[in-house]
Amino acid sequence: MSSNIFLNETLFWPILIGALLLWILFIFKEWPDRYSKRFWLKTGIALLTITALALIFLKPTSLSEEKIKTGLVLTNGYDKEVLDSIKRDNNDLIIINYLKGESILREDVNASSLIILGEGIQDYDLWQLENIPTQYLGSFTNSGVTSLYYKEKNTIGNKLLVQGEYKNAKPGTKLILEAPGEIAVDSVILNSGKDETFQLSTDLKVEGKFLYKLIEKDSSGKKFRSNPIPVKIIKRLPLKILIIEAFPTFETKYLKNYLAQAGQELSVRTQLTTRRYKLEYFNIDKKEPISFSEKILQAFDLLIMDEVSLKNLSKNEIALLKRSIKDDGLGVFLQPSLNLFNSKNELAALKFRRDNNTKIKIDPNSKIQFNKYPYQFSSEKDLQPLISIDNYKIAAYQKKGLGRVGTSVLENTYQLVLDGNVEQYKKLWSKIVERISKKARISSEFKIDQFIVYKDEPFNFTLRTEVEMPFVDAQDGGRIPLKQDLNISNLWTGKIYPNEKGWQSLTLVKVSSISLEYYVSEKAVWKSMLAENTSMNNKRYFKDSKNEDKIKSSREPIDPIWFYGIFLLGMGYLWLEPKLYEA
Amino acid sequence: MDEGKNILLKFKKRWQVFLWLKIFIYAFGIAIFFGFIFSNLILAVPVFLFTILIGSLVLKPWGLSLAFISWFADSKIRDLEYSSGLLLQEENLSGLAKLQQQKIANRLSLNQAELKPEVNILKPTLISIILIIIGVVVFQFGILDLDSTNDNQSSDQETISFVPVDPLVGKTVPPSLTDQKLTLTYPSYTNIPSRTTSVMEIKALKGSTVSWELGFDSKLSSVSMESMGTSYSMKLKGDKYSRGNSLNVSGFYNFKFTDTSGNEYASKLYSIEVFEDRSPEIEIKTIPKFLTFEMEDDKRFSFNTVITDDFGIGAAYIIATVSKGSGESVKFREEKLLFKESVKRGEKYLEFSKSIDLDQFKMEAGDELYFYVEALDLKQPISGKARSETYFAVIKDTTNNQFEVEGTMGEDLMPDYFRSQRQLIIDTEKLISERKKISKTQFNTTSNELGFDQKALRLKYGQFMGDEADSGLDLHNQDTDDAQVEDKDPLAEYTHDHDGENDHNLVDKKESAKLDETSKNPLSKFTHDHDNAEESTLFTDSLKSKLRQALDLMWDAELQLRMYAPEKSLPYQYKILQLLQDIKNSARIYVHRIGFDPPPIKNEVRLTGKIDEVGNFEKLENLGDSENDVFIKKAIARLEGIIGQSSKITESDKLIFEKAGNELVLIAIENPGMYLKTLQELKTLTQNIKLSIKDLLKIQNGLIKALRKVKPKPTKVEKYSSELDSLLLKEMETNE
Repeated sequence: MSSNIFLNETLFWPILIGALLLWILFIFKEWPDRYSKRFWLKTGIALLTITALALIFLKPTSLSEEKIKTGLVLTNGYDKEVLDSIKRDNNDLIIINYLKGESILREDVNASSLIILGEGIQDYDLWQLENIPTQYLGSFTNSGVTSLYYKEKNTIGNKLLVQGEYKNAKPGTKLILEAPGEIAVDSVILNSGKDETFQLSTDLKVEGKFLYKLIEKDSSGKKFRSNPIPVKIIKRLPLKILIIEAFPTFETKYLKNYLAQAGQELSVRTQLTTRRYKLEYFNIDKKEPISFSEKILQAFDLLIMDEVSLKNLSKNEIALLKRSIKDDGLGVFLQPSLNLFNSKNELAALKFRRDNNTKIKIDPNSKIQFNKYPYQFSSEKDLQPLISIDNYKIAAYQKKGLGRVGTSVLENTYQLVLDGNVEQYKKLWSKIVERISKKARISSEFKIDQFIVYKDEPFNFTLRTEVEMPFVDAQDGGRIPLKQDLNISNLWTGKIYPNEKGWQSLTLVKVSSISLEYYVSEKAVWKSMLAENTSMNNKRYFKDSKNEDKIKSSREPIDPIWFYGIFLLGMGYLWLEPKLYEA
Repeated sequence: MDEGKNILLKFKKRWQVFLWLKIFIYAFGIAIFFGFIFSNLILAVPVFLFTILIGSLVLKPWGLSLAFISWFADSKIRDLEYSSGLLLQEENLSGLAKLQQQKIANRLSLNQAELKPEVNILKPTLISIILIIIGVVVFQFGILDLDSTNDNQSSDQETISFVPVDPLVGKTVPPSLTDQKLTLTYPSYTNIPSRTTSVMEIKALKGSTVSWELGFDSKLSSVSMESMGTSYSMKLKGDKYSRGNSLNVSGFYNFKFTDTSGNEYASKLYSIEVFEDRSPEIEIKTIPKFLTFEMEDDKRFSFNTVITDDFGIGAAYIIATVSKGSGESVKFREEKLLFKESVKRGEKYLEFSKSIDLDQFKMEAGDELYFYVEALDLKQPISGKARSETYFAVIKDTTNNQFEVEGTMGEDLMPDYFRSQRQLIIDTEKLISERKKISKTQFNTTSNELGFDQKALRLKYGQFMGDEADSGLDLHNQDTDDAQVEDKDPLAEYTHDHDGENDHNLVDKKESAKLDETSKNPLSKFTHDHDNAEESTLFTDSLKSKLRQALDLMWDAELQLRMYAPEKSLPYQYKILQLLQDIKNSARIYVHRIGFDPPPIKNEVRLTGKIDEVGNFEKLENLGDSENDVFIKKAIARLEGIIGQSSKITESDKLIFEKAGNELVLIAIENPGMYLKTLQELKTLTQNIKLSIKDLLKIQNGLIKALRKVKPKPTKVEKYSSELDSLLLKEMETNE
């Protein structure tokens, strides 16, 4: 027996038997009248009445194929046409207008499933729809910058590179990167009329917290949108560099001059004769002996040495150097020489192959050619480029533990200085030195997903720190509660509701050098990007909660009033009938 | 009856209205015209009223009489039978007249429509429209713009406005400026009269003097001028403060004064732009840079020169150099030629022509003439000098195009005066050693001959000392021979005779003077000829005395030789040789060899020397970080804060802005005129004046634009790494 026809399934048999008995009893009572037509009629009505009575007890159910009530949540930017077409298909839709931060399903709304139109529900409101089958239809048209990438924290001398995507650009739309002081520094014209990627850049010159702007102008040059790009620019920190060479060369001399003038803390040891050295110290307060000891090597970020000096090192010293590279992250740049290319060295398995080029252009836009040795790096998996053009590595390094060991194939780069290309020379070496040097290790780090934070809207940050029990203070002195990650003990998350505009900061208590600077803006900025992000998040969030069976059949108990009615009528007839016919 | 009169009265009124309308149209047109012309509509109102007045006086609309009206009506309407005058008379009319009056009144009322005032409205309307159009056109195209700009400038831009340094002083009435005067005097050579203006921005020639005069309406305790960080107080002369200065560098200045109650006021910054007197510009026209002539050609050419200068030309001439010979023996002769036309001093534009005949320079085949034009301007104290490019005129040498080394130069024809003394010594020694082998006669003869040789040598040197060849011996042949040898010296062409053969130069000054007189070379006055021994100034008096000493010794040496005592002669001869060597060497210029060729060493012994006493070389140098424009950068960052967070400007901010201003001044001087506005605004920032965000943005904009390029330099990169990272790395290594 199907298990859900009657609600009181368990009583089925007793009631059936009882009803049958009752009927038999009735027939028995009427038996004397068995030849009249009324007998058959009465028996029939009695059966009906008893059945109704039985059903009152059994509570039968019926298969109801009714539609579940659907709520249609309208969020920003929904497409009216889509709304109309949905309305056409469904008559009893509950239209819900979404307001950020307020409850979506109020008590009077009785929808069992939801469809979302438009850009979607804000991240912080998603929890409200956890238990309701929801479908995110999206279908909204977005025009403007939908994604943007740049480094929020950058260093003087670097380029601020702003890359992004622009959706549905009207032909002739001009994007302008504006520096503080309303100086247009770069611009691009979007012409395709479709989705386009763009890239804008400018040199960073001044330390501080600045608000760059991305301005959108239409083809007639009228500004129609302006969005802030907050950038924190930090100053350049000098590196501690040790140069060791077995004999003086011009290459080193010029490099030394450049690095010293650039304010780097430089120690140079040039061998003059056996055990006699020329020791030079630049931008350092105290002369320190230069030798291979762990303590001394630890202090340096970069060691520049030639192949001969490397060969002259004792086994002990090599081991020490290797350990420094591996554990402390010391960078080692080996001055290129023919010997270096042709023989193995102790520090890294750099391999070279002969080629016949002795000149190379590094910048395709300039005419300047660099001299090089007729060698090239043979491609190694673990070889990372320091400088390369189209996969051709000009200078490269191998990662050894935390440190790096590298070299270049360039010869006599000082020739650039002699030829007057000082700028090129500086750029080249600045890049090499910076990339191969030891990275300053910081023990704690803040991170936020978004580069812009809105007033009165929560945002999450993560903190990675080695501090056992970190505390984070907001700018106004309030302490932010932190939540530790279950699996990773040094990962913490927190949530803030910023209530003031402008630059704000979070500080890790006791480690004051670690802080997070973020820019709080009014809601009106970066709308298109925000919409795009919300839409993506919604898509991801509602991916699994699709309510495919929109038409759901369920068994509903049949209203017993019918049975009562039948029973009452039947009983009434049976009661009245003898009085009509017999009186 | 009354009806007729009324018609006439009405008509009169109509007429008057037309007249007033005419006046109004004229006045309107003229007023608008003037309004546009002077782009000042307020002016139009009095012009309008004035024209109305004039117009009404001329046309007198009120003076219109009824008599005239009736006359007019009579002339216009025939039916009135010249009787409209009757309508005006009311009493004392005869019956007939009354009858006529009635009749006329009826007719007049019938023909009213024919009465139209004879006032031409069309003409004034047209004239007015034309006037208005002209006015609009003039206004639109700014034909008379000069007037308007002048008006504007004199009204507000020029006057120095003073702002209290301390903003709290605002309540008291500051003393105001009644007079401002700037007198600019150009250097006298420019012939530009001094100029007085009230514009405070200065643009003037270097070396000009400038003086300021400021007058105030009330008494002040002090007035000063600030320029480039220093303050100069202004002197009170009569009721005006003045100060003079000569301009040498570009820069900025402003005024500052303190009133009697001690409040300070400062003006905005003004620029001083100093430009240099440019050197003349020379352009040579009509000839190519290279001219070549054949030997048989007419070797003449002419050219035109245009010389221009910004403040007047002082002098102009041609410098021509003739070169003779080639290779090391090339000789130069320089001449200064004048143009045909004389130079008018102070002219700014001069055009000259000059024709040059190469024959005039006695040029031969292969000789070259280089010339250029040089011009001086009137600049003082050192006049500006400019020269044109060098032009060449060459006479082709077709005979000798290539230099060839012949294989037959074996004979050494170098004159050997000094060697001959040595030869004498050798011969004398030889003679002494052979004394026992040879006969006495032969010995004596040889000795005598040596004595003769010694004499010849003495005479030869004596010539250079001005001695006369008084020997009576026939030395002439020898002399001429020697001279010939000298003349034919094959190396003469390839040597420059300062060294080696310096004996040529030992001629007495007197003699050289004589020679000068006799020489007829017209160019000699202008040339400095190294090859001419007579003009040599190489030798000092001590050298002469040395030579004299040598000659005296030669006498002794000769005497001993002639006495057949060569042994006794030898010491003298040695001394002579010594002296001659000295003379020779003293005239030599030694050039030391450059570079060092180390002797080759064996590789095994390399770096094996004892170095116990040699230490390490140590050097400690602090080059510092050569960051430039530090305060400008700080100011930019601070402004960003002020603009973004609308925070207030503190005292320390002001210090930053002031220092940034000082840095900007340096940049502004390099690029005159570019950052003046920013400088002025930066100055106001330090003076407690509230500026709008827009102004702040402008300052920031200017500062950022003034920033110089950042030099590339490596920096330390910060990177977060946790235990997890190092664990991962270790794991990866072990699995490698």
